[in-house]
Amino acid sequence: MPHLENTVLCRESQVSTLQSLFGERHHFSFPSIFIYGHTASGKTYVTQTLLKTLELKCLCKTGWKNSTFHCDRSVFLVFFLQAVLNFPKYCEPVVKGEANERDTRKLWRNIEPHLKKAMQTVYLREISSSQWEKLQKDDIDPGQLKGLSAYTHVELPYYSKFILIAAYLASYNPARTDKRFFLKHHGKIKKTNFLKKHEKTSNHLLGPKSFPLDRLLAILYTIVDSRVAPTANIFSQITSLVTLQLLSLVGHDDQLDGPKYKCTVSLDFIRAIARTVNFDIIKYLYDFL
Amino acid sequence: MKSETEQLQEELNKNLFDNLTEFLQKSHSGFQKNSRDWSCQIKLREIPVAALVLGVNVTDHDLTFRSLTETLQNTVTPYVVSLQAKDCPDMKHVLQKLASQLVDCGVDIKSNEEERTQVSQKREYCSMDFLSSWYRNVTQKKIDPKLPSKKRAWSGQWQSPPVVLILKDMESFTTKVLQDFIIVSSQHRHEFPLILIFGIATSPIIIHRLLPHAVSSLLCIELFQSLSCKEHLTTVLDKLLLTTQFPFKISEKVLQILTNIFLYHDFSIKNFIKGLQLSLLEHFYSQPLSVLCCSLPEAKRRINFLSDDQCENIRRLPSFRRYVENQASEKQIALLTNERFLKEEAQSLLENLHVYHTNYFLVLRCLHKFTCSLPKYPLGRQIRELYCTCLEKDIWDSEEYASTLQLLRMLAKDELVIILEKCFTVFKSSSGKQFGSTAQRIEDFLAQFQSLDAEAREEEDASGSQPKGLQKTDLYHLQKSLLEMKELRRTSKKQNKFEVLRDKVVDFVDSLVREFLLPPETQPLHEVVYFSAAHTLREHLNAAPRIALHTALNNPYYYLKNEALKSEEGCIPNIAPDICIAYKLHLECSKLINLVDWSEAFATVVTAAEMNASSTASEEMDEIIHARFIRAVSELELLGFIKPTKQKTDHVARLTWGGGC
Repeated sequence: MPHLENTVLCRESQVSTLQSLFGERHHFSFPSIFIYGHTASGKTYVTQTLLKTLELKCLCKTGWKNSTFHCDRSVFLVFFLQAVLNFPKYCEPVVKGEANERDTRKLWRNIEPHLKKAMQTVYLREISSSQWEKLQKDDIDPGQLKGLSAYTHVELPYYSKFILIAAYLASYNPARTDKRFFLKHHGKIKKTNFLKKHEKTSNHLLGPKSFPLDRLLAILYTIVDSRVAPTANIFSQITSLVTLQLLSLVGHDDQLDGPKYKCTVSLDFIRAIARTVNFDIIKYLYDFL
Repeated sequence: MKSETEQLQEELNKNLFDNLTEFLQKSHSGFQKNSRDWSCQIKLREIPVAALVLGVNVTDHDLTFRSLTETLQNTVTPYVVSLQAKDCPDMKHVLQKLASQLVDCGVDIKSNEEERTQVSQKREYCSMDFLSSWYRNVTQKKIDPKLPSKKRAWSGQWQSPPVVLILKDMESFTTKVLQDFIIVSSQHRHEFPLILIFGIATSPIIIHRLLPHAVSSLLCIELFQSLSCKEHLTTVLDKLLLTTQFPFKISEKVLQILTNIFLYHDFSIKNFIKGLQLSLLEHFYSQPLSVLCCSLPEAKRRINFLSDDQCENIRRLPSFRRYVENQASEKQIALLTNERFLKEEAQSLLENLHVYHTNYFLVLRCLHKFTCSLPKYPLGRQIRELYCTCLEKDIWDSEEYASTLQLLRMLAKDELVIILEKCFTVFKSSSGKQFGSTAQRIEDFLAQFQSLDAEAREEEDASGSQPKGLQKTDLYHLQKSLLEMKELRRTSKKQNKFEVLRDKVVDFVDSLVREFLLPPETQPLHEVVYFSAAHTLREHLNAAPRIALHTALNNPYYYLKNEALKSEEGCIPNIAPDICIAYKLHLECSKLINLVDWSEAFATVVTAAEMNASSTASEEMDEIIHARFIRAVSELELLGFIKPTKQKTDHVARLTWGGGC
């Protein structure tokens, strides 16, 4: 559309980007687009012109200062091409007759906390849109509804927890330090200056390393208080943990000889699990020595 | 007992399934409405998803999914498909599997031969368009009344029922496949109404980990949680063991083993029930008197048909012997010689056993109500822990019981009243006459508590009319008066009415416990219904493959039962299988084993055996022995005891520890 570039001078790149985003009329389009930039750089004008030309429905909001973005000076334009969820709430004061349509500031103040909550829940797909609508109808505080992220707790059997802890220790401790942590009479490891210089990076930053099965079992038998009989149940639990994606198998599936594993859980998760069995895992980690 | 477990399973899942069907029906009705309202249009583009969090016991999920499929097929839609991650490495396989299963579902409804052949031709090439057109054909054809259709409850509710896809193990799916599938399906939602069910084992966070925000915004996810496995276990125990409906019981050690496997190793209810079945089998197999372990009237009838051998068996039971010793001498003689008398006595003893169990469980439940809410749970929080403790020994001797009673004497009034009411319902629900008086006493206690309340209120009103004058006092006088009050409280232990009543209640409970919660070993004929061979169970359930291997190789008599193979410790019988000989020889070596030495030792042992048969030392014999040695060594390598090493030529490294030479 050549005449568009003429209406908005020197903005060809922005216009063409926006056009490609909107696409043709029958394409499925993006539900929301964020456009950011400094104040008075003409975002509103450009987009409004483009929209008028393409005759698309939109809701414009300017001047959104949101503390979650930590940017006081910038001004964000948000298009709610799909503002079905928030539009009724936004229009509420108008319907109630509290403010007229021009009074954008008042409307904004009404909707801001609502939008904040929406950001945390629906936009992150913590809860579904139908649940959100139900919430709005019943006017319950959205804080009560537990979104998907609230359910992080996984209940594991007793020995499986220890297998996971042993796997974590095997992944994040170098093999040569095992003697120091798990033997009763060990020598001290002398950290020479040379080593200190070259071991600045903690293992936690480098990610988990792979370890053979024997090492896992050796550490497991050391850290469990009572005697653990090496029954088939322990071995099948290791495979279950792999199915649950808490451990992962490194190398080929068919390699029966020396299977290698890697622990894929985070430090917070393993600390929570260790706490439930009264095991102080920080004491056994090389990085926290 | 099997039907009881299945019924239990259904009941427990019922709640979850009801919620799920409701959700499915609600989300699909939006599709049916086909309104012009733009909010509905937008929601139409989202695929409704039910995220089912099932728990870590993956072995039990299979059963749950099967019953879920059946329920859904009966209520919501016949088009229910399940997929597993290992069948779906990429998009093509997903669509193929989906199409083939759907067509099978569809063919069930209308037994139309032409349909089947037509569709099977297209099985090679599947795409979303094919699925949409298939769906359109199928739903349009349903209007035709001439075609015979199977009677299903849902038929007629919807003209175009949704297609439900169950992903059984969400964690194992690759991100790419899932993403692609969701994006493509959401584009085709208006012609192919798909509803997804995610079977999640760990936590719903996995959805965020597997799917980026762009894709999860195409989904409308609702969370459903199934019952926690520990609660499931409690219900199973309740219904199967803590009841007089099934006469079979297990002893404390066996129960400990089964619950330990459940709690320590896997949270699998299926394995627990298998363990129970195994103990049932073992009991019926090893105990000849278990023929009497059935319902009471049937048992009485069977006693009359007992043979003389069986009567001898009864006489030999230790609990029966103890019982006989306590009887008068004429009765003793009669029991030991007269069959008729013995049988009558046995019948009455069985009846007593039944009554004992009824009382036992009632009082157990009552005690559990008292102890389940105490701080620090001295007797355990769950009824199964309490049951284990009671089975083991006299519970009133234990320290935990003493501390429980102490804590009970400090209970507050309203808590006590609540607990008493619960116990009252427990006793009331039992049909036995002997607990009528107990229930009555509890009722009396409750009434007394209530009257106490009224009295206390009266006293307050009375004393309110005389306000005590508080004089101004300084620190010294205040201290003195406080010390005096403390002295007073210590010396005069006068309790108020509530405390007196509370003590009475606690003593009453104590008396009930002492009377009825005797451990089962004190009851005569308990061996008939109790299974207590814990070691056999442990052998069967706790498989230790390495130990089994070692036993087999070291001591082949254990498995082969060949008398000639019996040997003492340290000796190698000459006729043992080759691999045993090689194994025993290698045990004597240290880390690196010289193959030549080993083969010579092997040859010596083997030829010593054959020396008796024929003393021809021919070349052929050597060759054969050599071949046997090589075979034994490669078998040991396969089993993982040795492995070839490059450290020294002609040596193998030993992979297990042991004594060295």
